[in-house]
Amino acid sequence: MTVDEMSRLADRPAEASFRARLRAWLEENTPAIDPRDVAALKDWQRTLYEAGWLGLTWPAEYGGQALSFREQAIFNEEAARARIPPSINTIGLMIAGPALIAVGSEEHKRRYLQRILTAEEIWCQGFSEPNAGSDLAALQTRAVDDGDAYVITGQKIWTSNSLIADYIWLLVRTDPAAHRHRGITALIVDMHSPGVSVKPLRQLTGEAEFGEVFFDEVRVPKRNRVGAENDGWLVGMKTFTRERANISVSLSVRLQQQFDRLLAAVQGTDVPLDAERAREVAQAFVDSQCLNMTCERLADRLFGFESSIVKVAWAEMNQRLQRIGLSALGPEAALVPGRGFDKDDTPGPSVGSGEPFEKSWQFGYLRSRGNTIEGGTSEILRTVIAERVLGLPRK
Amino acid sequence: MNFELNEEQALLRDSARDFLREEWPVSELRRMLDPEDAPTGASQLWDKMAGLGWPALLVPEDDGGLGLGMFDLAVLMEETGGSLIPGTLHASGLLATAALASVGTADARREYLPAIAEGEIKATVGIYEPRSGWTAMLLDPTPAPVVTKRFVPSCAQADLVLFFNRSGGNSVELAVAREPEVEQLNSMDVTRPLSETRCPRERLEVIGTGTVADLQATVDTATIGLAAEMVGGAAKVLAMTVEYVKSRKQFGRPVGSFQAVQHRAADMLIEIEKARTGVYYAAAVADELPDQLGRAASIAKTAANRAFASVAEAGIQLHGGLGFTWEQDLHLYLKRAKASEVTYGDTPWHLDRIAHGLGLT
Repeated sequence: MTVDEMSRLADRPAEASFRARLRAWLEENTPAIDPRDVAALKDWQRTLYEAGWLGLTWPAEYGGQALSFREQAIFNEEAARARIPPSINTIGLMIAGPALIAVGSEEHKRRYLQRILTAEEIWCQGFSEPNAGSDLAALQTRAVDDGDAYVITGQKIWTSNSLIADYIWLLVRTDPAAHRHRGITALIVDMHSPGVSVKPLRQLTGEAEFGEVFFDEVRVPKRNRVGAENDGWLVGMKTFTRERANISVSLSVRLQQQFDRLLAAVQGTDVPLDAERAREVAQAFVDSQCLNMTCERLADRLFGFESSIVKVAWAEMNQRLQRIGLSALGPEAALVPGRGFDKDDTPGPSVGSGEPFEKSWQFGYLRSRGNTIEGGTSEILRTVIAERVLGLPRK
Repeated sequence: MNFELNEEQALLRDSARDFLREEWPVSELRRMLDPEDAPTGASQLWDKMAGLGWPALLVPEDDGGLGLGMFDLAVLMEETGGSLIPGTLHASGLLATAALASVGTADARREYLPAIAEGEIKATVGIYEPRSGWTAMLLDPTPAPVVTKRFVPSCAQADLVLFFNRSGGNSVELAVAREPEVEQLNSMDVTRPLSETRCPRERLEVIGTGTVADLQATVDTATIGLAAEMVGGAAKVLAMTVEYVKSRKQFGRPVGSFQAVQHRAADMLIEIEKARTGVYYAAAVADELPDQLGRAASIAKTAANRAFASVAEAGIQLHGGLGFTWEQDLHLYLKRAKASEVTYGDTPWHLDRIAHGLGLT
């Protein structure tokens, strides 16, 4: 089943017309952009926004389109179909923006939301720390009250987009004496403030997709606080369920692309597939289709703990697709195409097959190992499902 | 895709759940385990289900039924599967109804469908032949003196036994088997009796003709209903398991607070949600995109096969020693899961069909 066939089952008349307009626009306007060209990616996002395709579910007074989650799902499907360039402001669009809409002050909404949509300001998220991963409430980055400002000292890690970000959506400890969950506060911090420094964090793929962010007595005005002081845990939790819901829905579309790619890869070999491999691919088809449609079926519940269901399933499904894709290469799987592991993390021409490393099964397989760790480890999320969805007793 | 139940469907689900809790409690189910026991309430259950219009659901309005779709029936069958009701509703209200509606002559439809809808007669269909499996194209195209069908559902309980036969090439015939010889098979799932049913060729009265595709579509339609029942069964096992691990204490605390138990329970839910999606999708396809029926049925059945068997196995494990006993009800679900898994095509059968459809083989 293709996305198209699903859509035939799905759309109400207004939605069908939205889809048709969007599809025509994307066919006309989708550019080819080097995924490392930040300026071009920002321009592309602005073009998307100005054409009315971003902030679909955001309120109109802050630059959004005030449409439903259904239109957002259609956008995700059509964006995948058109293979649009990657989003440069994912954290802003999917995490910080929706969180500000939910819990930000009027001033925050007016100041930040539209600039997230236009990619004028890029956001990152500072939650995890070296000693606070799954146990996020153990975070130690300190915020000391100093009149009209907080003074921040500490370190965040695994911060996507930190190398290009203008703002960081930050959780800090304001009351070290309070019980773990109670002394945390959410802040908006300008990444260009004196005392902020960023170091790339190279991962096992050789890329530096993440960074470490250091805060050395960084002054942050109190008006940048989101929610009440010491109320940051609840603010953060709201961010989390949104993150998982948004990411799950958009990743389900990427899963469809990965499956199509896998299909092309196994069909492209000269050797006919043996029955076992064919069944493995067919099983992956069943599971990825069921998972994609589950994201849609549970869409209304995905802002709750149910989002963990699709996050766990998605991560493991993507790992399975990458594993099958890699094994379909046979002995070639032992090699790394293109330039291989970048030594200096700068773009360069591909060699060999001409396929860039980032588009290879080798890269996809290696990168997918992170899927069951990032955005909540599968172990933590299974506990969330058991305790929060099924209602099993906590320790 | 619109997966939301509409008001009528939500009502159907809720009323079915309440009805089955009242009318088909586990105590009734357990009476089926001992054939020496007094007759079960199965026939009263049938009369009451007929009173609610359940056998009429899929029968077209012109044939005296309610003319609802597979999505509606799937919503109902998720509930009936959760309660492990006997197989007559599936055999009569789904399999036989689909066969008659697909290829029955006008006369045959007039004669049988209103009676099926009213619940006056219970019908079933024999399809599977030893050498064909569930592949319609492999049914024997040449008439044998005695036609033998295996795994015929609820045949001893049926008033009308139909045989779906291949009649050469791409043609099929639907026939009434008059006074067939019914040999009860020892089903692993005693709540779903199966038989080997034989009928001499001269006692087969043809009441409809069609193509192999019509026959396969009938099986596919029934497959989606079975998959819905399987998802309902799996959901019931999870509910029972959650209740149990919340109350069972070891080491001074509920076993449901142990991470190893919690994670297995989480996996049960994940499998169920994926399979439920597959079933709803396939049911919607049956109603709206009939050209996609085969693949959709295979998606639903493959997902339901894994969900039900893995959930039933996990449920027994999480109940500990109790789960291994005859007294606990979980084995009934495990047996239903394993018997259903191989009905209308096992997982490799469906995966091969999907692989073929994707151009992989």
